[in-house]
Amino acid sequence: MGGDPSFSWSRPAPLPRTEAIGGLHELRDACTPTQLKLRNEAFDKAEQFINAGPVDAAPMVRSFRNRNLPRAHKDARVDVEVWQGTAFV
Amino acid sequence: MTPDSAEYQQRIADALAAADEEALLSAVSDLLEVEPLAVLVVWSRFPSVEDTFFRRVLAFALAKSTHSPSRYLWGPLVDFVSASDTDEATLTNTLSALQLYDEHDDILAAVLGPYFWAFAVRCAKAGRLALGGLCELMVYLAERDVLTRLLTRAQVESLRELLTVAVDQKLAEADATMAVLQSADFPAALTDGTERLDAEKATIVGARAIDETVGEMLRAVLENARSQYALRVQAEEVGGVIEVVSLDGGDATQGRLVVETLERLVQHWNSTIRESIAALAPNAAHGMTTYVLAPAAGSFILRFLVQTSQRDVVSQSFDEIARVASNPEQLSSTTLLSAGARSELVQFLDVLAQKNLNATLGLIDPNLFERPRRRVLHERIAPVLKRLRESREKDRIRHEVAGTLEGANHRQGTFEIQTDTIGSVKGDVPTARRALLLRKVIGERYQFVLDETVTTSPSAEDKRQWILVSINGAAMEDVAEVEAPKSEPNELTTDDVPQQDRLDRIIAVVRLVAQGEELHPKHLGMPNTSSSRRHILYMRQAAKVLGLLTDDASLTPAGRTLAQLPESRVLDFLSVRFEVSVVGRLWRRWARVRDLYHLDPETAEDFLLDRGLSESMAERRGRTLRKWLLAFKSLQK
Repeated sequence: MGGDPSFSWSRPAPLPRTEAIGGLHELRDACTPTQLKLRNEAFDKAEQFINAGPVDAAPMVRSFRNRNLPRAHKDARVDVEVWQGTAFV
Repeated sequence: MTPDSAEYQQRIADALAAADEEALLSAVSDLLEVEPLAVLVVWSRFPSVEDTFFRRVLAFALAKSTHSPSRYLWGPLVDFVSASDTDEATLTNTLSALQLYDEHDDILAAVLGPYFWAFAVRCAKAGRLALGGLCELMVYLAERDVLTRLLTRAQVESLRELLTVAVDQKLAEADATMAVLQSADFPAALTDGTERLDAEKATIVGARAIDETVGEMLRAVLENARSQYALRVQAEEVGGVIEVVSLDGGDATQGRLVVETLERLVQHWNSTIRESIAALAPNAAHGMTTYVLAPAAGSFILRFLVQTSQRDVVSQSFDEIARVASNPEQLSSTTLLSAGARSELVQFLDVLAQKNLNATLGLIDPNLFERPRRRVLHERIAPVLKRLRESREKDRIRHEVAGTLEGANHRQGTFEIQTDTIGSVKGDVPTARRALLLRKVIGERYQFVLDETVTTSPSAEDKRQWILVSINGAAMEDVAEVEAPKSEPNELTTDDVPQQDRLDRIIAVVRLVAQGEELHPKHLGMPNTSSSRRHILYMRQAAKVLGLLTDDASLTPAGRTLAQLPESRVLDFLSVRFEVSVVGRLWRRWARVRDLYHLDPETAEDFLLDRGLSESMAERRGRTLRKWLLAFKSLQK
């Protein structure tokens, strides 16, 4: 939400999973080392989730986090949202 | 704009009315942009909407709202966890909302406790998306030390079995979830969250400051969490399940309901349960006690605690009743409900329709994974009942019975007989056949052929009319031998004593023979093993003891009658057959009692020992006699 980095898409055809993973990698690469350290497992799990696609029930949100996050960083996570249609084909 | 602005609510209401999914999603997401907590308002303004897509959008909005400082969101969270949604996206969104919501662990655990297991099982069964989300959530809750307050040891056992699918599919965190479930110390029972719930009352004050309706909904959730816990404990204590009928609409919405309406609903629902269970398992129905639990304060919720040794049968019966009630078009096509159950259910629905009431039917079964809930809408019932009332069906059943002619009037064309098998019958003789009554002697035994005409109307009791077809004295000798021994028996052989506890099995065997089917295990839903075949022999022998089958497993007249009787009269009929059987007569004579209702079931084994049966046989077959007698005696209640 707000200023959080995101990769979004809106198109008539379903988003292929390769493209979605490309977008996810871009987000990961844009993270600072500290941000990535708090989200590395979350990115891996999100990628695994996208690879297992497709998702054809929307709207739907899945949230991924690293295990045992310090309390001060409990908000560090990667969300995957599908608002409409089918994704990750 | 304020979050509860009329504009947004109107857009949502319009989208729902038009079933426009795109407009609905757009309205809710626009509202979220304005104020994330607005989901509380939407949830509280549209509580009874059960549209799948709306629920999915609302759960999505809930997950999106948890970013904000959201201490009041546990109300809708518990609502979603405790509801019976099976839509995978709705469940996934709810899982995400739970994972993202990190306020108030104490209150969340207390209010989620009664529902979490059933919710987890629904997620595990819904599909890959929800199963993956469940694993993530469980690991997260374990990290926060919340999981052991949500699940008992026994519940964890069953979940582990379901989660092996996640391990097989190599879902993220599946292994970690299994490890958590393996190693964490789960309690034998969940603790009552009353203390925490009491402390949380203060929250309601805060919620009311946001919105009065929201505050009221949260209060209801708190009350509900407490009562759900208490109800599960009650069901566990008596070994039963609780069927819940929540009423809304009509006068119920105004907070008042005519006492007579409530009484009729209680009476018809209770009769529906009994009739339905009697059809599924006669023994279960007759060992069953139904309690009406005190309605919850401030609401019209009827709760029926059904104490039974066969919870699965009660649950199965509830499923069918609720399914048909929510889809009344299926009233005439359901085969799982007996005519008696259907008739009672129609009367229950009729009361709802007359009073413009809706009902939500639910079941609390301590052993059940699911928490089924169905909506019954009066607008949907009324036209179906009208159509059903217009279509009355007639069934004609032919009976060949032996009995004593107790009264006859040739001029008026009436007769009265006391039969051996179907009790007392009064009926008519058509003009052309009135001569049948001439030269017949009152008090003499004859063989009668009778037509029973059953006029079935789903909205009323079945009506029966008896017509005499013939009287035949000559055939009496043969039939009487099969129907009931004329002379008092003295000897008891093992052939006279049944070894089949379940009367429903005997009925099934007789019906199979009547349909010309082979007595094969597969026709009785049993595996084709030698053990099954041996059990079928016991069923045949028990049917023979009751005079329903002959030595070569063909039907006796009594067997033919049984096969044609409506479910509600089967047990009564079997009790008469037992009373006149060799073992029934000898037991009564041994106990010096007039009828089977005065027999003590606990004397069965002593009686058989006295009659020379071996100790092991007396013990085993005594158990059968005891169970039969308990079932028959329940008819008196």
